[in-house]
Amino acid sequence: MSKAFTMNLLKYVPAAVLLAFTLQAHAHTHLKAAVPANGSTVAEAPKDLVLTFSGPVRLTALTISKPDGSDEQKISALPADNAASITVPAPKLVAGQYLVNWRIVGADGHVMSGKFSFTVGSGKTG
Amino acid sequence: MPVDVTSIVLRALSFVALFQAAGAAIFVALFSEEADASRAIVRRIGSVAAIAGIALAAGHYALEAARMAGEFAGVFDASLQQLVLASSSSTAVAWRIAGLALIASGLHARSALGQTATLVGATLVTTAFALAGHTAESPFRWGLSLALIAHLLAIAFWFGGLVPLYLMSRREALPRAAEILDRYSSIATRVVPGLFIAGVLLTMFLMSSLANLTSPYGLLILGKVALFAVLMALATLNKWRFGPAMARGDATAATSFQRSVLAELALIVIILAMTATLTSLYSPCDPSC
Repeated sequence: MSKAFTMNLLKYVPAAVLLAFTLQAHAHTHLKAAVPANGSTVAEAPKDLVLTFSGPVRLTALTISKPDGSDEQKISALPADNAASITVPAPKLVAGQYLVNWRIVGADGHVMSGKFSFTVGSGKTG
Repeated sequence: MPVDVTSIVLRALSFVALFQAAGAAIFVALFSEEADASRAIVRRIGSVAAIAGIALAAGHYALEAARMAGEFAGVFDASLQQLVLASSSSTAVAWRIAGLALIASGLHARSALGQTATLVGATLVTTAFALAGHTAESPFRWGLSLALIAHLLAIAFWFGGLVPLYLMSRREALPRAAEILDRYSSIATRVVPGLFIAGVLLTMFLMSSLANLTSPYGLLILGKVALFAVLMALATLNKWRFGPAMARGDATAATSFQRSVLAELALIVIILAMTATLTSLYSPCDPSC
């Protein structure tokens, strides 16, 4: 914009950068772990799906499908409370690969979504 | 998902409308006495933007339950709507709508009281952003909120002033237009560094590590910074080349200035769309913290 603008940037940006790096990192809610774990292969179909987040969340949607999104099953019995670790009964699963899609509302009010996949048995059928 | 795309489009459009409304309110407060020939249309544009902003903010809010469900049917899910109602988003949207209503009615009123209402409205609209989202849950909430509000008021001044400047350059006599542009640029010279510094602070604090610049959130931030650099080049042209030429009565400079302002507008709309995307879909430090 002008010479004054450039001078202001030169004065304040280094201070802002230093200040920002001295501040403590602010954690955001994300999926820390899942059972079955992402990318894992389990010998038997899981009875439950366990999702562990970095902080208390409200799970608002959960679906399980084939990796290409076909045969999607919506899991409607979701807990109504906020929790960091959420256990949901899994539908009956046969051998094969599965994709789990989740949606949550974090403490900051943001809707977040994500997915993880796992394989039951050899993954060649189902 | 279609519900996410719809929500992002509504959010981006609501950003455009509310920053235009708040910016028109600020422009009228600062320059309306000089801008005889363009004052009325700037007020009208600000009012229309504020009313559009109310509709878009309400539409985006109504869609929150659908985003939670991952499908449009979620709009009719009472338990999800209750969850939205109890969230901090409700307070934020209420402040935003109240602020936009004050701007619309204040610009319409054309009185000293009306002008005060528009400025209170602009403050409410920008402050609403600090009531929900990443800054609201931070242990450094107050510091971050001040940085965010400063950043947003600067955007409102800059972006919201562009359409009035464009109209003013077409309707006012050239020396008068050049005079207003000079005053606008003088204020911008002080405001824009604040916008940039507040943006750097917020980003670095929320991202926590430079490694996150390679995440989708980080790449969108880098895209915003690149577009900001182009905007600065255009603003420099306006201040140092087109403005002085307009003051000398050069009509072709006014045309070049108008093209430059339209380019700035387009770039800021793209930046607001990128912001709507990154604040809707991504976490600043996902998955590292």
